[in-house]
Amino acid sequence: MNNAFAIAGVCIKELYRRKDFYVLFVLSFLITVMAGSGSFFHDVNASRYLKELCLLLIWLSALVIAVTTAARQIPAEREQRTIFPLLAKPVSRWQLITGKFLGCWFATGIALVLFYVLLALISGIREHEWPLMNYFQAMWMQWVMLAIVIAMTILGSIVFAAPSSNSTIIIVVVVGILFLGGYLHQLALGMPQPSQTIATVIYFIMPHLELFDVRSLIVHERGLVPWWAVGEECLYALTYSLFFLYAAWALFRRKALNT
Amino acid sequence: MKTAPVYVLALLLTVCFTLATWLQPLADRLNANNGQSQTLLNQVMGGAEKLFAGLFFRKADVYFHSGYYPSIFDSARTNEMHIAEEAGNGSKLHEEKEEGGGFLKKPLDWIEALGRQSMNTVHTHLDETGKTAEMLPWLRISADLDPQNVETYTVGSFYLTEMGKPDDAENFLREGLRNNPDSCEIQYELGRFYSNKTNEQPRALNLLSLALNNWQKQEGVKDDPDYTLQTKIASHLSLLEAQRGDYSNALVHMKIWKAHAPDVDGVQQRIDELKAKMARPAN
Repeated sequence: MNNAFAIAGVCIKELYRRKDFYVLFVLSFLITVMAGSGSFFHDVNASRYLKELCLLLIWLSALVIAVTTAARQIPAEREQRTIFPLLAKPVSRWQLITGKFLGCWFATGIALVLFYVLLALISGIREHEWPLMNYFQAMWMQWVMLAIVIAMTILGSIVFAAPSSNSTIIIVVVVGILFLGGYLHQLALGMPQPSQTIATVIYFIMPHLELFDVRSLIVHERGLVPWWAVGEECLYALTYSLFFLYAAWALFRRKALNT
Repeated sequence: MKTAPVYVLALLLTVCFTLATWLQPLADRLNANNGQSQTLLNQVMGGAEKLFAGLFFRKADVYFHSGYYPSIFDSARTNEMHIAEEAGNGSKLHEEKEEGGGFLKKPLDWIEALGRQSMNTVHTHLDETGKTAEMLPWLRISADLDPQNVETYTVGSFYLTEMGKPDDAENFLREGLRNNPDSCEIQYELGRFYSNKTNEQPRALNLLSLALNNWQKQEGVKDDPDYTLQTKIASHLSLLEAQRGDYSNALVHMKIWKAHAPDVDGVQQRIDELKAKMARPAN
């Protein structure tokens, strides 16, 4: 496991060397501050719209950071041919996959902490309330969700030829799941056969990323998600992450590296 | 023939500059012809303004229900916004709908049941918690994007008045009237607003008369006119006229009111009282 953590450390360093995070963070900050500087009908108490906007930017930024970071890991190693000395250390292919996954996940976690500190500060200054536990829960749930996304992206980086196509496909799939995932079963019931069965099977197979989206509870100040539900969702995310990582390893171990 | 790159660049820059000097005044003229001020939001949104305005108006409705709101996939969706129902005449329509059960039915499977833990499943209204201000930003943005949506102004002014911001409510309605000069809904709301002020009654009368005339022009010619609005205008107008002693006009408008009033007997009683007053010799 030490090898995996050493690889993960390199991924984390990569995050703060690259400009992606800084650009997204500054952009989120500027957009939120600009939106917060306006007053609507001489009212300065409205803060929910600001939290909603900030959370939307956090979700978009974190998704972009997670997918783009994970998508380039293995292709970059292959392209620069650094994968050969890495695997000669000796580091097994499973350790490489795990290390890359952990590195991207931890790096995304660090970015999320900074984004949520920004959210807490902006909304705290505005409404003089500090629901830190709610923010922590929202951040945790999002981070757990991103584990599935990162694992999916690493699998995609083995399957698809280029990081750009992989990133695009994963982002489309993730956004599709977030918007439609929860309603697919409901929609399937109104379809004729065999579409109904196909849609229902897809519904039960796909990872339900929307389960981890608690933005509505934060924005409308509706309290915490029960911790038993958080536990169940973590278990759910762990299962899917392991499945995607295993699939990535299964494909990667048979893959020729010099092509 | 070889040309130095610097000359090509210089030529291209000159062409760019010439085009810019020609296009800028043209763009200014086009904007001026549109008759609308181009805010940053207008420029960013472009032609999708109306679509986004509708989304933001709906967002205000979502906020009003503190996030407890059906999605586009939930069948229990109604055509009219709940905030509009509330702002209309304080009817109990919304509550009646809720008595039949909310939009959330029994979960179809364990995934949906788990998902319910991450969403708001309790129906509360913003005005119950004294946080109505939270939906104002969305109404403001919606009005900026689609100034022709009359409902945004009437709903916004209703809640601004509820919040104790009569000046903002009046300004918002006036802005709506500037953007929609023939809107009988806004004229009615503005007339109703002034009728509550003792020194603004003549203005209220003028606006309500104008609203009734515009209703006749716009709705009166339709096969299925919106009599609810006509009834509301006529009722307010007749009561104001009766208050001012203009009994003959009040009687005319009370008859319009009675034609489609839910409480016909109540209006008839008012008509009888008015007739009795008219029959009494003046002191």
